[in-house]
Formats: sequence, C-alpha cells, structure tokens
Amino acid sequence: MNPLEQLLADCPTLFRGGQTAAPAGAFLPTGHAELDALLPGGGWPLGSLIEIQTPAPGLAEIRLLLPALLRLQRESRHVVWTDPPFPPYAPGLVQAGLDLARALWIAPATPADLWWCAEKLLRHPACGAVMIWPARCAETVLRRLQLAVEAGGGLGIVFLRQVAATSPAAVRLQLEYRDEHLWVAVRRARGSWKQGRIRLGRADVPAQT
Amino acid sequence: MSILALAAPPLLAASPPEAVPTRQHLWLCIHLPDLALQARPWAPGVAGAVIRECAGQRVIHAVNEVAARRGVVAGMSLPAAYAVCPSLHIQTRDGRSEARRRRAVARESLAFTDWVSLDRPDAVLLEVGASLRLFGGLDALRSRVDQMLARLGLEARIALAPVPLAAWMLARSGQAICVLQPAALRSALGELPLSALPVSLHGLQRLSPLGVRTLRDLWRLPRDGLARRYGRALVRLLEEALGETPSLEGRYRQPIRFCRRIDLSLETDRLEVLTPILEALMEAMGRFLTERAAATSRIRLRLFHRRAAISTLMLQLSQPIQDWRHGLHLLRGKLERAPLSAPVLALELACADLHPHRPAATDLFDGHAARQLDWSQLLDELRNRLGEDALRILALADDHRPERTSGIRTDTRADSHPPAAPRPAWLLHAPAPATATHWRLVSSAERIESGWWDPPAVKRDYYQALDRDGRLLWVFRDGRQGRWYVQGIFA
Repeated sequence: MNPLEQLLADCPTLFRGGQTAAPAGAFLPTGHAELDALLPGGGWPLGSLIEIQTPAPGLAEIRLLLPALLRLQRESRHVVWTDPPFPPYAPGLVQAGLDLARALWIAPATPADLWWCAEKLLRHPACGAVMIWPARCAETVLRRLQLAVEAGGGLGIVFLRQVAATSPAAVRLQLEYRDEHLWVAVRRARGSWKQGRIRLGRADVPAQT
Repeated sequence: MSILALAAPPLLAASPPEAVPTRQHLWLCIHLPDLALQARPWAPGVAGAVIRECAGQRVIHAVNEVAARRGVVAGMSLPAAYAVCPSLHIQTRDGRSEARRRRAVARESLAFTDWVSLDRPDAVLLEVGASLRLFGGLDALRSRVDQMLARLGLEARIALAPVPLAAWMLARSGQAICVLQPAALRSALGELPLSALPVSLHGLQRLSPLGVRTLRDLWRLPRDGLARRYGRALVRLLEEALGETPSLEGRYRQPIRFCRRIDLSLETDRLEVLTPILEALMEAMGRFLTERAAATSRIRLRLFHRRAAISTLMLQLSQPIQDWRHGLHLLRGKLERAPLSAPVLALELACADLHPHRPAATDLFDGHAARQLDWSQLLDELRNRLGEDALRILALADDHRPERTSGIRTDTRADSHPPAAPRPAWLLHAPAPATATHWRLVSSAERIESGWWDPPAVKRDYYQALDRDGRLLWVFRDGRQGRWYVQGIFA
C-alpha cells in the first residue's frame, strides 16, 4: 500500500474529489431516469429539503414531482400543498393519479403560520411531501425546515423565484423553458459534484402518467 | 386495556326495556307548584306574578302570596290582573331555570332510588317501592325527602300512589296522601276535580252544569260514550290513573360530564404558573374519561378573573380523544397565543360531549393505523392555530362547469369521476381576461355548455395554450361575448 492510500485509509475525514462515497439514507426515484442519474443515490433524498427555482409559478412543478408524489401516496403518506400560488384543481390531480384523500391544501394567513405549519408537517412521519411556495425565505428558516424534515423522513420542497447564494437544501434545481422544452438543471446535489441539465419534455404536451 | 375496550360504554348504551313489574310499585311524586316563582328573584313584600305566552296573549302563570291575597289568580289575562292589582310586578317565565331546578331535585333523588322520572310537568317522580325497606319504612323515607327539599330551598307537595299518574294528580291537587293499594285508588282519586286531569279539555267544562265535577262523576258515565264524545285519549287517561293500563315512566339519567375548577391562592397571569394547574386538570379529565371508557371531542377551559369577564377557550377536535396529553398540548398552544385579558383567579375545565372510546386497532405488523390517528391529531393542531378555513381537503363535485368541479370538503370520501378530457392541476380563483396574442393554441377545442338550469350558465370553448414563459395554460373563449380568458395551468 502506498503512503497516499495509507493516509486515505487512516483519515476518513480526508475528502477525495471526483469520487463520491455511497450516500447514506433512503432515496426515492424521481421517475425521470436522466435526473436519477444526476442525483447521488439515484433519486430524491428522503429526509431532505429540495429547493426548486422556477421563473414563473405553474411551470412544470407538478410534472417534475408527480412520480415521486404518487409513490409517496402509495406508501400511504400524505402530500401537502402549502400556500400554493393557485388553487390546486381536484379533477386535474385525480387525472394525474393522485389520491385526494391523501392530498391536503393549506392556506395559512401569515408567513409565520406558514413556517410553523410547514415545520409541523415535515416533522410528521405520515407526511410524505410538503410543497411550499414562500414569498421570501430566510436561510435560518430553511435550516429549521431541514431539521424538521430529517426527523420526519419525507420531502420538503421549496419553490422560489429567486434563490440565495447558500442554502441548507440537499438538492437545488432550476426549472427552465427553452426551445419549446422544459428543462431541469441540477445546481447542487449534496454528495456529488455532478451538474447538468435534463429535458423534462415538450412544454406544449401535458404531462402523461 | 382490553377490558376497558370491551366493557359496554356506560353512557350511550340504550336503556334496557323495563322488566314486567312483579312486585308492587310505589310512586312518590314531588310536585313543585312554585317552581316558576322560585326560578325568579323577587323583592320581599311585592305582589309578584310570572307570566307566560298563551295563544299570543300574556297570561298569569303563577302568583306569589301577596298577589294571591290581592285577588290575582293563575290563568288571568294580564290586563285583568293589573285591574285587580295595579302594583303587580311581572316577570316572564324562565323555562331553563325551572328545568335546572327540577334536574337538581332529580339528581338528589337518585339517592333514594334508581328510577327517577321527569316526564310529568312541574314534578319529579320517584319509584320508592323498591327502597322502602332500605330506608326503614315510608315515614323515614318521607322525612328524608323533606330534608332534601328543605336543603334545596323548594316548596313541594308530595303524594304517593302505586300509579305514577295518580301520584302526580294527587300531589298537584294538594292531596298529601299516600295510597298503597291499587284497589284504593278509585276512592282516593274520586274527589278530585276534573281540572286535575293533565289535559285541557274545554268540552269537559261543559259537563259541570250537568253535575259532572269530579272524577268519580266522570267514572259513572259510560266509557264508550265518553270515548265517542271526548276521544279515546280521555278514557285512556282515566284507565291509566287507575293503573288499568300500564304507563312507562322515563328514567332520568345523570348526564356524564366532567367539570372541575381549581381556585388559585393568588391571582396570576404567568403561564408558567398556570400550565401545571392546567396539566393537573387535564390529567384528572383523562382519568375521568378512562374510568368511563369514554372520549371527548370538545373541551372547554374557562378562566375567571377578578374584574374582567370570564375568558373561554374552546377546543374542538376532529376525533374524540381520551389521551389528555394531546388535549393539553393543544390547549397550551391556544393559551400561549391568546393574550390573557386579566390576571387569572381560577381555572375550570369541562367536557360534556362524551362518546364511547374506540381505541385504534393496533396491528402487530403495521404502524399504519396508528400513523393515521397521529395524522388526524396533527390536523387538529393545525386547524386549531390556522383556523377552520385554512385546511382544505380537495374533492370532486358533479358539475360540468370547471369552477364547480373542484370542491373543498371537511370530511372524507367523494365518488365523482373527473371528466375524460385533460384538466389542469391548477385553477385560477376566477377566469382572468387575456389577449389571445399572448399564447399559441396547441389543442383542439372542447365545448363546455352547462348550467342553464342554475345560473351562471356557461358556454365556452376550451383550449390548451402555451404562453411565452413555457406554461401550458387552460384558456377558453366565451361563447357569448367572444372574449378570451385564462382559467387554469397544466403543470
């Protein structure tokens, strides 16, 4: 064994660029094979925050998350829309295959209530995913949510118009519309250096399940 | 745990049919003639009367001694009463307070027998035939009943008879007698006037010029003729009074209710002092519920202040709970957020809405049921803080108009089916007017024309359209005005 290998074996804190350790924890396939390939663990990391930057509300959020939401509901976990930009439409959700009995729409009156209930929900093991559309979002708030979601083991999904430079989110994505197609760019995924962009599908064709 | 779950819930169990009497019943009737007067406060020495509404007129219902001396009698119309006694003080009847006093008598009477009835007006009936020996005979029991009434501060007339209706009629007529044998009923009741019967029989008054004034006179008349003239009900009543047809008296059961109050030795507005007291109250409530295999869905906390009005915190739960810790958690949250209006002198915790406790079935292999129970507890907590409207459970509704196809419900299932044509995941609060140049139509039209029976009717051509941001919109052109609107977004 050469000295370098010896050193690496002895000091687990030493970081090796380019080579990623097998990430710990549970993962949920995103349902988009190309995206799974870009994310460490091959899917959404359960018990983590996911930050998604969208240029306009209503741009393919559900299309991106739907396979994961369906999978969570099949595990009899609940999916929560917290203060969405528009009212969720029951016929559309049922057509997409979602179970309304496990879907909840919460409209809190104030930002304080929003964060309070998001934290409560994320902390709950029966809650599979909490989608949040905050107007503004401080990093300290996200840290609190991150702690809550670690306890609950679900997914906390925060949709933002503008993102801060740093964030405790495990995965940071950006939704884009370009050349008639919807794109998802992976800006950061904890435990991986990979960055990249995948195509979600044509924008003028509704998502198929 | 399993014993608690299997034991019959004591409160909602239907009362078993009363057994056919094998031994002699003896009914003690406590008639409270002055209940209406006693339910109202009176200044001493005034001529007072309680009035009631009768066929749109105000009629004297009861009078006190002073008014009675001046010539006011029950049943008088109000102007007539003022004519004989101009200084008459009147108050309207307080039915709730009267009922409360009657219930108080019934509650105390449960010490003498388990069969107490509130079926007859202004009276409480006790079946004492079974308790005579226990209390050492009739006289001993009577004196105990008198003591109880004195303690409650009520004037009452008491009569005993083997038939409840007879006991009630005797007591109401002021005949403080005791009839032990059914055979003696006819002679005991015979002298009672016709007005002793619990019916308002205007026709019966016409009998008095004919010499029919007492029940004895009525019994002398042929029954079939009586039935033809005044109805079967009168004959049945006469038979019932003699015990010839049985009557079934209702049983008063004390409602199970938890209410406990703790007075503080020093008034305080500090939550760290109040919380342990609240905890003690909630724990007592939890014990109370567990002992009765009951659960509650409504808890009321009242805070008493020295000067300010009582503050009340209501806790409404979606599922009855027995676990007091969950309730405590919610109440504490409510207390922390609602600022106290004044320092607190005393706390009172009450729950009246009791249900049989159904423990969640625990599955050895799956924590699913328990998780769902937790989930409803979490929803309670959210609803409690965010308000009832903030939590929306989505549902399908049967209507072709898109804005009516999605509903919000508070309970569970809906069985409607969504339409076959694609529908968006988002629907705007209201269709937004738009210019058609902002998008490109990417689908064929879907005509929705509906609701002519229930305005607003719609006649619209729906399309999918891609806007410049890449969003797939759900747009329509109004068939009447020809204008374009955006109604939803596919996502």
